[in-house]
Amino acid sequence: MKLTLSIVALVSGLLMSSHAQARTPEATKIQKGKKVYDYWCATCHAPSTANSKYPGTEALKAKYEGSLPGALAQRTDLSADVVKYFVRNGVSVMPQFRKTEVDDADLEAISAYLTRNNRP
Amino acid sequence: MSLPLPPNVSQAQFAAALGKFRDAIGNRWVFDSEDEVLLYRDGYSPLRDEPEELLPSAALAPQNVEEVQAIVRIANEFKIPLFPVSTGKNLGYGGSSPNLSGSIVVDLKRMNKIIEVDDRRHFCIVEPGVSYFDLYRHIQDNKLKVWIDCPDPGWGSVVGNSLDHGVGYTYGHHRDHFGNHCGMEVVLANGEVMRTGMGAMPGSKTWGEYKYGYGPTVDGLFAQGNFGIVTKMGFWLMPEPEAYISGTVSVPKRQDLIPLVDVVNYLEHTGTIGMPNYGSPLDVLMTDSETREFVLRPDITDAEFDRLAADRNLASWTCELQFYGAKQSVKANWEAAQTRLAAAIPGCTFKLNNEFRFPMTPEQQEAVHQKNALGIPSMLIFSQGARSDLNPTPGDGHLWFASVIPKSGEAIFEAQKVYAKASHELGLPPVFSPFAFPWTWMYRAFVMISGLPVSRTDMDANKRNRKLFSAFIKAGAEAGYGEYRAPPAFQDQVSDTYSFNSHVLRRFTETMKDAVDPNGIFAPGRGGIWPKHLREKRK
Repeated sequence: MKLTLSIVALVSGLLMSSHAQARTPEATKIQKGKKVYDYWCATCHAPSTANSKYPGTEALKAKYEGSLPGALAQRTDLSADVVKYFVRNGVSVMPQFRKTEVDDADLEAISAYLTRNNRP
Repeated sequence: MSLPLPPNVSQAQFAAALGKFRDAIGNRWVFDSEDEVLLYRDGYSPLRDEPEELLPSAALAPQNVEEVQAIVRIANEFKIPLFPVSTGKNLGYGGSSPNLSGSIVVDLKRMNKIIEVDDRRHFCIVEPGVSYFDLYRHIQDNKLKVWIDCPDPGWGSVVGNSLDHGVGYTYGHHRDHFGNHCGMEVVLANGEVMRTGMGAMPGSKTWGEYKYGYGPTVDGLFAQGNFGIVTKMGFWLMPEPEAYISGTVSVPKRQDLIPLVDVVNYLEHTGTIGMPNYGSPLDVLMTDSETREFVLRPDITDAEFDRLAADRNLASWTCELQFYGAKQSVKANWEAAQTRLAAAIPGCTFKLNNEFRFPMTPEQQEAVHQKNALGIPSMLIFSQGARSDLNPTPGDGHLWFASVIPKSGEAIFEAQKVYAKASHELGLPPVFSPFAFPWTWMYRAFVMISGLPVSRTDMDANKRNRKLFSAFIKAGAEAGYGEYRAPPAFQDQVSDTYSFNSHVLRRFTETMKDAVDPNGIFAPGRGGIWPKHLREKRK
């Protein structure tokens, strides 16, 4: 049993390692973007649940009247410029974010994450 | 938009100072370009794009105490005012903007170490850049058996919220975030590092447990004040309870509010309940223009209010009671509360709302609606101002007008009238209706609070609301109420209302200010305290 587990661990370790080697800079950036997004943005923009109506998500649902997803991470029409504009300027009750919170590299990563599913 | 210079500092001196700041903390952490510095303007400024808008000249982001000390020494050399912010999320009360244009913001966000969390003795020690989310995640990740008490929203700094007398939602003294602190570390105007409470004793083992140390306590000078830059603070934490239940009492008549408050005060001050949440089911009727006109008549009687409630089968007032503790005791306390309330208020009714056991799974935490009652930080408060189906044309923020009133039903009725009259005198509709109820974050006082809207584009609306804010301060003071917190544009006026014996309190603090910060480098104007050479700036 122990031997089986060791083999599984070894194989999965090799798989992970080869996967990591295959990861593109863009994939790494998207992964970082998700992390920064989850920390700074998802607290307002995550998909709403029955008892947690995320204010950013609900605001965008109301704005687009259902024609676009309310949760930002589900959008496929955002551009890096749009993301940058709103992070650095804010909108309505959302304030702007400073560089000690979201630096320029973080912002690029967030943009990469939010535009990952855009059609070319 | 051109950025202001610090007062009485030339462009050449400013450039020289920035050079020294760069040497001290690194070029990357000195922000002086317009696009970077404007990120520090108050997102909810009522003066946006007007000549009086409070703007910094630059921002600095140190990463440790030594860098803060270096910044303070350079600021003294050039007599440049510094405005420290922990995370700059004090929205509605100024955000990260200084009281004096041209000040340099010292942004402490990078100082974000959680130094200690003890779940046996129930305290933590943190740096200013630690948010409530950070502290909460640390506790959850390490499966520690303590709760935090967080404000709305939860992205602000534990230290910063405390230093503006911020408040929360759980149990008793934990809601008073400054009162609940225990010892601090401060960089003084001469660059020295001071520790208060037990932190003042080298090798002390009780920094987070005993707040007074020995001799006079000076911690209060650093909250809503400008005597130093706080770089660490201890806070008491609440042990994770076994259980929580909440239930609502509803009372039929308008005047029932008086005995309701009295009994709820008893329950709270004996430690039986946590934060009580008052409400008025009749408040929704204000959206109907005919009813609104009816209830806003100056001669409306209590009998008419009662008929309004009875005709719609609505309670006049409600109060949610929250119980924390052992699973047996929360139920017993809920039953005891019902007995006491039923004896005092004929016709009151009760409803059990929620029962929870702890620890909760992340899924259970996500499913809880009233997260703040359980010390779970969230951003859900933004729902109140953001666009929604009920609010299709949202504003761009708000100014919190937050008036401390006595903890009685009579005071609530009086405050409704005081503030309705102030609105009426300006020809504006009342912000506080006859159904306005108090908030109960403070353990021993009520707060009548409202967010007056601000706009990024409508300067006339901003002027109107500034005028109303000032009128509220004046009307409140005449009635014996004072604000507990205020945006920078109004801090002088609020400070002015605390004027007993020819402003002796302010004269006392300003005497100390001149002695310990002779160049007036720390946050001139904060809390209404101005250094000698800038005192003419007082509005």
